[in-house]
Amino acid sequence: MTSLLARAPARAGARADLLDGARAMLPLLLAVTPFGLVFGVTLAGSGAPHLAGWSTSWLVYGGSAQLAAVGLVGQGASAVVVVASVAVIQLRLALYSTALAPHWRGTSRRWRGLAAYLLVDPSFLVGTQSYDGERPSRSAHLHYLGGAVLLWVGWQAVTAVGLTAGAVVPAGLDLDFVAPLYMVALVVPAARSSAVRWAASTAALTAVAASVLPMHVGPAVGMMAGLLVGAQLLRSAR
Amino acid sequence: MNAWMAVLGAGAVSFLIRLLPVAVLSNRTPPAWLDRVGVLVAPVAFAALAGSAVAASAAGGAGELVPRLVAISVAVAVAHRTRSTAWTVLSGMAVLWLWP
Repeated sequence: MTSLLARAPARAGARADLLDGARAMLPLLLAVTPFGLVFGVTLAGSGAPHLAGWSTSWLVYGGSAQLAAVGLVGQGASAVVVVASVAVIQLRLALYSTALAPHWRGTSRRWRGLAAYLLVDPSFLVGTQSYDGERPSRSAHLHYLGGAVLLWVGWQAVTAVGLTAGAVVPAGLDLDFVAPLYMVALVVPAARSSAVRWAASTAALTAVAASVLPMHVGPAVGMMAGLLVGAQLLRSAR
Repeated sequence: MNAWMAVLGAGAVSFLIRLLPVAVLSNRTPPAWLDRVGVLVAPVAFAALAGSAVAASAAGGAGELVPRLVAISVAVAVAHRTRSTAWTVLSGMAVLWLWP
């Protein structure tokens, strides 16, 4: 009885952590919904087999890489070309994984596999809040999991809806613009030192300029430019 | 068959890219440079994603880019002043929706 009573608050706390993470993910899920629908609609007209194309939602799990993959498969590209293109687009995820890895040290291999599998731009955004040092590690893991699982389930659903029902969100609402605004809300208060401000500004401007490059490499190019500038400034400040 | 090979290969490479840094850093101390650069990763990643999202959503040309740049600038000012996620997002969306 005592152990039951002792466990009850922990369980309530776990549920609260999961829900907090899910709540933090909601605006991002809303922001990626139009993209998920667009992916489904594109897949429907791409010429790629529907089941294989939709399966990229859980196998590849990254909108830009999925779009590139089904586009190339639809055009009859070889498997090697598809895999190489997806690798280039997904490379930024290694950066996220590197940043979150220290928080996952000492956890089970199964947890690290699951946490890494669920890692994509919005879950990294929520992850930076989960592991901001305000929560004990178990609570932070649950917060991350709550957000990441909601995103995963939502993504599978909206890509399937896009494939079967077509575009259902009016384009005039510009809901995809919520994502960059949400990122502004995270970056601006966090950019306290001038090195971080310069690094972030360089990354944003380079990514805009690099958006003309093929294969959606713009974000990765912007990140590398921002990191180089920031690292140089940090080194000269020491 | 080729489609499934491509999709399965793309899935495997995606998982490896996500897992490798976690696997490598899980049982050794991260190098010192990683600690230093680590503080930059999140702001740099968000800024780059925001930049390319703005560019992508303004695919229609300058007519679409100007209201988005104004909306982002207003959002930056609001974020700086209020540090509130809700006000930042609402102010930016309001500029975009009310743009003549």
